[in-house]
Amino acid sequence: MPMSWILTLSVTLALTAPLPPSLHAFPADDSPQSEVTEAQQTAATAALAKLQERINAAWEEYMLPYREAKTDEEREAIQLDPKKSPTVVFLPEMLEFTRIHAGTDACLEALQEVMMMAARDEESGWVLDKVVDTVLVDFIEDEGVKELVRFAHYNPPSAANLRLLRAVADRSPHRTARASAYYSLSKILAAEKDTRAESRRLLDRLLKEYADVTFVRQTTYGDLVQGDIFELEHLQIGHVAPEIIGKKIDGNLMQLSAFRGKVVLLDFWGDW
Amino acid sequence: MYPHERSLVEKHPADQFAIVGVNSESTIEAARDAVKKNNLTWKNFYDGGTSGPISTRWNVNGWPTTYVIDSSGVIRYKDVRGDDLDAAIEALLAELNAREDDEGTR
Repeated sequence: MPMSWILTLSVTLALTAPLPPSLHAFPADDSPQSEVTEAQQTAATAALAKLQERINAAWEEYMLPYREAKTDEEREAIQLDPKKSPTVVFLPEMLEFTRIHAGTDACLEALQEVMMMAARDEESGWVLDKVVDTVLVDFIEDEGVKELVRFAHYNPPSAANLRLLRAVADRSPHRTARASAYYSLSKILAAEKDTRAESRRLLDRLLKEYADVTFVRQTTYGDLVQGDIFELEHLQIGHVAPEIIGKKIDGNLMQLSAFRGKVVLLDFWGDW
Repeated sequence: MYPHERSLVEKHPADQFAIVGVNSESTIEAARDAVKKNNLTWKNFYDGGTSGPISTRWNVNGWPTTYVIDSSGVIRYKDVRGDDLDAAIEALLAELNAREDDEGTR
């Protein structure tokens, strides 16, 4: 069966199917979600792929000066217009996508991208709140929210980010999603002295109840949390630096404490 | 990062300031090449990769990660860069010199 026929069929189905009531902009009430049909899922996935293709092409074009520059001086002289960044240009269209395809898997994926886009653009802070509202109404029961919260501690700090994490931690029926939310929260709370005790409580809870949950690949939250607890207890400002005894690049032994009496810049680095 | 670090080493006396690197290159050859290529004059632990024992213990998940440690071995700054790094080091050197003056006059 030709591929194009399947696509045509699903797109046609999606266009002719009556829109369920939840398909309106950022539902304000907690009305029960309507079932999303298979055809709507397929159409949304295809539409997102097309949109992403256009965004990728826009990035290629936006970054073209860097590829064409021949010397470091030329590269340093490049001044890109932040208003023409694909992040800014495509944000409205991505938001529109999440509205049209509300409730689909592709919508959740798009929401994740919108969140990253909005986080990178100073003037789009309001978008984060919209995204979080949508997630909490349409996807709080969906295990896919774990993708949204797993690396949320790398998002620029915002009230919306914290609201999302606390809601997923409290309300998700999936322990994988709750584990991701607890961990991201613990990372964010560890940054401030006042909230470090709460961070520690979350880490202890992860270790006790969620140690087996996968973070990425072979790494579990149990593996991760050990390092974070050590960091909270021994690697904060004001703590005596833990001893390092190891081999230098030339093979000879060295220890960090041998540098006592000097101010030391300890630099973890790699030339990649 | 390297030119800035070289300037710090050149600017401050060697008996008061040192850079200690922890290199996470995947092979020792790559580590040696990186030191040579970037003309690094300071001492480096070799950690055997990004999940080496030192990085793991220090919970390092991003490179570079930096700590500034005072002359008593206490962690005083984490991940400061650029002018902030210069200021941090100068503040700690001033503390060190004030303490030495103090002990000298006692």
